[in-house]
Amino acid sequence: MPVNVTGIKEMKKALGEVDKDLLKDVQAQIRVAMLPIRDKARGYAPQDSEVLSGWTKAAGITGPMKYRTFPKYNRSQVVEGIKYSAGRNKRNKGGWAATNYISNNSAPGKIYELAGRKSGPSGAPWIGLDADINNKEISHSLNPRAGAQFIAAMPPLVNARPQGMSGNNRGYKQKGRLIFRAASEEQGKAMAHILKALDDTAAKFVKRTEIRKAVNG
Amino acid sequence: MANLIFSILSEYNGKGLAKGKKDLTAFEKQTKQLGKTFAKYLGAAALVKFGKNAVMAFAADEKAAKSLELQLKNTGYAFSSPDVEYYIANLQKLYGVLDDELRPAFQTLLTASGSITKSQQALSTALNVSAATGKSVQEVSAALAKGYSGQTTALTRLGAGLSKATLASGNMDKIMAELDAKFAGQASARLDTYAGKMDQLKVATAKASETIGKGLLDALGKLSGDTTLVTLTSQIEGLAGAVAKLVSGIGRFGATLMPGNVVKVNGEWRLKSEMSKSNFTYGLGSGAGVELAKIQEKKKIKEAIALRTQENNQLKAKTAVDKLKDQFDLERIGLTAALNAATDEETKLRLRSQLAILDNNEALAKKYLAELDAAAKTKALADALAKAGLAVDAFSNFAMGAVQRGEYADAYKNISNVPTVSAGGAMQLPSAASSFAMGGVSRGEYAPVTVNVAGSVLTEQDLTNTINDTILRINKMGRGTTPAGGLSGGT
Repeated sequence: MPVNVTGIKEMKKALGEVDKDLLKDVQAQIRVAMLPIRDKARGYAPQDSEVLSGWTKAAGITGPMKYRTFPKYNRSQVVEGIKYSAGRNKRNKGGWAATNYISNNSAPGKIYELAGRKSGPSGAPWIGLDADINNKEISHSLNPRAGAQFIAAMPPLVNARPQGMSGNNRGYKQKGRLIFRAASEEQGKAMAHILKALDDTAAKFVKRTEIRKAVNG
Repeated sequence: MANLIFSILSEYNGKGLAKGKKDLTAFEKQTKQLGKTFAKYLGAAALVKFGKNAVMAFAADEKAAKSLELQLKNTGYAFSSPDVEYYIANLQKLYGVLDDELRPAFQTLLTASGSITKSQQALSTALNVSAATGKSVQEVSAALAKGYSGQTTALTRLGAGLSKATLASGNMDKIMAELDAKFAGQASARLDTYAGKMDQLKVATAKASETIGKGLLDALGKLSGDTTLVTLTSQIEGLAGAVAKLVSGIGRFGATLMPGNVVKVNGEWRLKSEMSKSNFTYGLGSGAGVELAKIQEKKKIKEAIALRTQENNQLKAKTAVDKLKDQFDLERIGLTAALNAATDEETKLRLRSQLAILDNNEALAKKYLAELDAAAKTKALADALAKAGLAVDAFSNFAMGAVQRGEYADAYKNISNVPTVSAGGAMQLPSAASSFAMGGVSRGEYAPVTVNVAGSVLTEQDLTNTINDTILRINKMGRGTTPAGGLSGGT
């Protein structure tokens, strides 16, 4: 549940110009609040022995290939892929950008996080072996029930979106098993911490510059 | 795969989006206009008629497909729905039996057997039996379905020559095995017969009818001139394909008009959507693929640079709306008014700093910050000096006041030889300074101080002589002894 704040960039710039220590303070406080989510998410990544055994094995194909094989599971890779970033990511088509975010970057990590989120518990539909190889909406396994079996072997998806929250994003896009699960459990504390940090910083800023006093005479 | 992030803070900038939306709306209007023009030139009436027939055929086909899909869902085979459709389409093509017949037959068998595998085997057997006996596929399927339910009477009426012992057993595995043994390959063999060819033509006609409408098909039959069935079949399918290509071509042409939808590959313009999506990033097998990947990469870099430039330009450009916004910016108005009303330089500096922050003017903000700092330091120094002066005054007043009020005596009542106040209010110094000093020394409050004077000390006579000499010297030099501005006596 992100807090939508306008002018973060400007605030940072102004803080940086007036008092660089304040900016560092804010970033440090947000980091302190976000790191428990990252660490908890890393803890939810299962050991290699806990996922379906076939997922940890490398593809049996060698030589040049025209498509990418299904990424094998490797816990250390998943853990390394879960990161905290204090910067701002690329603005999306809707004009939104996230700052101070936790990302899940590895391919197996993303698969574990999202499997069944869009397709449901039965997995992607299987329409036979002659299916278009470029179609990513369908299963290309030899086993028609592969998707359902893969999803059934994982814990359920957890929704990080608080119950009863209104807004456009009511769909499935806040559901997951790693970062979203951790966020659903920790975001209340993190949010309180960050809001307090921002509040304190604002108070310090006003106190140090005394601009408000000057304006009011 | 999309970026997967969880964020606590996010920010919104809708400027670029609003502009893009505006552009898209304009483009949408243009394409709609283009579509109208196409319709006009291609003949609106012909297109409407064609569309109506095609939709009717498609609706009937879809209805049957939906019915089967629902049946599959109800029997727990929802996931197999596309697979079954594919299977039926292949059977239709292979044996010249319409899907309109195959679907209900398959549905009947599925209801009775409850298994897709058994239904597929039974349908295959039903096709063979149908080809051999002349009964319709639906009739044979219905008989087989009843057999699965334990009623074998309908099977005896198929004329398939099943043995009474097998029928009496009611074992469908045995019945099916006997039917397969007797009629295997009949459906394929029938295709070589005239009736089989006719059925194939029927299937081709129905398929085309679903696409382009029956009216158009009849017209083609009359215009064909060639009476052989094979030619007619291929012509019908060819026309359907041509119409489909025309429609697809119009769509493709429309797509090429969309900005950013086409890309130049090896000197040839291609639609992005028609290019393979999966083999650019992950290791290609041939040299051509590498070239393609390079082109894609260059294009992406170019796009990224263009987007960055666009974003920078947007940030730099101060639009008329922004200027208007500035005029109605209450905060700015308040600050400007306060600046005009301010009298002292420090307040003015602070207000200018506030305005610089509002304008996001880094250089100006730094300048004002430095000035503010200097002003603050100067003020602090002035304050400190003023406070020091005030402290001295305050102490002096306190001391005098205390002495006048007699508080001094109270405060130092344990100390002898302190100043006192006389009846008239004047301060009375101690009568005997030596005893005061000695009293302090005797109490250990003061240590005796000895002053040694170096050089010579003049006597009173020497001093008088020196003054007389000096006055005489002044008079001799013609200068007066009266100070400037003073009144001098007469000579």
